[in-house]
Amino acid sequence: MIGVRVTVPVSCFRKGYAREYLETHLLPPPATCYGFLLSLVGECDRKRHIGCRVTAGLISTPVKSVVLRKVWRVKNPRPEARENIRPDYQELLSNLELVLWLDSAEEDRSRPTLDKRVSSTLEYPKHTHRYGGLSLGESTHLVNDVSVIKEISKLKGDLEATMFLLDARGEQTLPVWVDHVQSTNTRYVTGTIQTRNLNTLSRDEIPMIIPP
Amino acid sequence: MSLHVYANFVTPYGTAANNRAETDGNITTLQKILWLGHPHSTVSAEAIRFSLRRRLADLEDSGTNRRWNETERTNSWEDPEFRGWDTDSGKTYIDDDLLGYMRAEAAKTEGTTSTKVRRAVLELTRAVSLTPWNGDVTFNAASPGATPAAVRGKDKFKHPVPYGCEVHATRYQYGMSLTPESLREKSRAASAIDALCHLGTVAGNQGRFLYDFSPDAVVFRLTHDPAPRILYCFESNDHGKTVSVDQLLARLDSGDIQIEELIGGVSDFESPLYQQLKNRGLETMGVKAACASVLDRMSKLIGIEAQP
Repeated sequence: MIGVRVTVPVSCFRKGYAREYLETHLLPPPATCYGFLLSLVGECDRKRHIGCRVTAGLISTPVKSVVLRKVWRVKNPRPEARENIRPDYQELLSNLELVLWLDSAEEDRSRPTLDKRVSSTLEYPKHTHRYGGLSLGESTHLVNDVSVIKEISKLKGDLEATMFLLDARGEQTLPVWVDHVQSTNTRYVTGTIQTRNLNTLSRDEIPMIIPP
Repeated sequence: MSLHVYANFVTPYGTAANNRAETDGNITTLQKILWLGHPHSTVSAEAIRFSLRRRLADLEDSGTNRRWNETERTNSWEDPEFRGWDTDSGKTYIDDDLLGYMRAEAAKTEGTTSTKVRRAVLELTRAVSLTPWNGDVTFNAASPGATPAAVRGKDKFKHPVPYGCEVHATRYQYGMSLTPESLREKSRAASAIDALCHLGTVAGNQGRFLYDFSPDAVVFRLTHDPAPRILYCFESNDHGKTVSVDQLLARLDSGDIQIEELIGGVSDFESPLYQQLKNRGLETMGVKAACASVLDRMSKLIGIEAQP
């Protein structure tokens, strides 16, 4: 298990069913974290690391703002038809500081696992081929810092984070796999957002990335 | 390996009424976000992209795929189906190459690849004001008859229409990320960086606030590191009059960033910022010279034409 510290100056993790007022989750869902890590290591096959477990924890307290923005929808296939555009409110989070918790123990071990690739990318960035800005949220929500927390056992005892962890009786459902086209194949897990000491996390509490 | 070019730009000091939010009564409002605990005015990345595309349309011999038509208030397209991308030798446009595109009806099922979607190779961030917004509002009166929709009754052409306008005297900073090797034509990276160094107006409130987004100062970073680590690195301790980069220097001290990766550009060699960068041993020059230096370094690293 590794921790990846990430800072994102401005971001939004849009709730899946938000259509008119674009609400944000307080932290990125597991599917978003997985996509971010794939982008970091330059992996284009989203099925390459199925079976890894990943979740996000907040180190900073997120601050929400609301802006008015142009929102696109498809009413007319002609690009930029007037009916495809509408103004709408969007929630933004600023000055986010996160820890992404990643465990690759249940991945296919015959090939390099995601945790190894993330560590290697950050240690030897010259050896990784990747493209595009590294974003968490929308594409313009560029991250600023990424670094690996190498030794979890050496973390200070008081390092706590507010994280999404699996809980069958929890009140949150967040996606672990997103169907970007029809949403019928989007897969959710149930959990709670709780403040925990990072030293006490167990693998079973972290959502697993599995397609339907 | 993948070479990344990152930049953080800061604009000159000016009075902004950019990229308005929803009008509140007869007050024309600014977009604001909470930033480090205080409300700061902000301009979206989309507004900056729009301005960049317009500049590229003027500069490029072959133009851009979409071009804003001021009369129709919509885009005129050269290749709305993006057919140029169907083959390796097809004619493509610089704006699609840099900023990406998507035809929403292209993907019918998950997992199928499509030539109608391309991710941006150049990403820009939201611009955030360098100083908090203190609540400045100007009082204005539109001339009699200038805004007939705002007045009712038979006297609608007789009286001026009073209104307020939120304004912010400040600088804006925003970031950029570019992976030049991912472009169909790598030389377009140089055009993009050059256009950003001469951006001109972004957003604005009709003709009254032509806020200049051409950088007053810029920090470039050329690196293989996937994280920029220089976004929003500018700050001001004197309400925006001058700019400093204390965070950036702390990053250099911690070893997160190597000094050889950085190039600084300033418009004033008498400024405290220039002294701060120079004293730290960072290669610093004028903004245009910094732009040329980045293009030169980039061309050597990946073998592209230095000049746009």
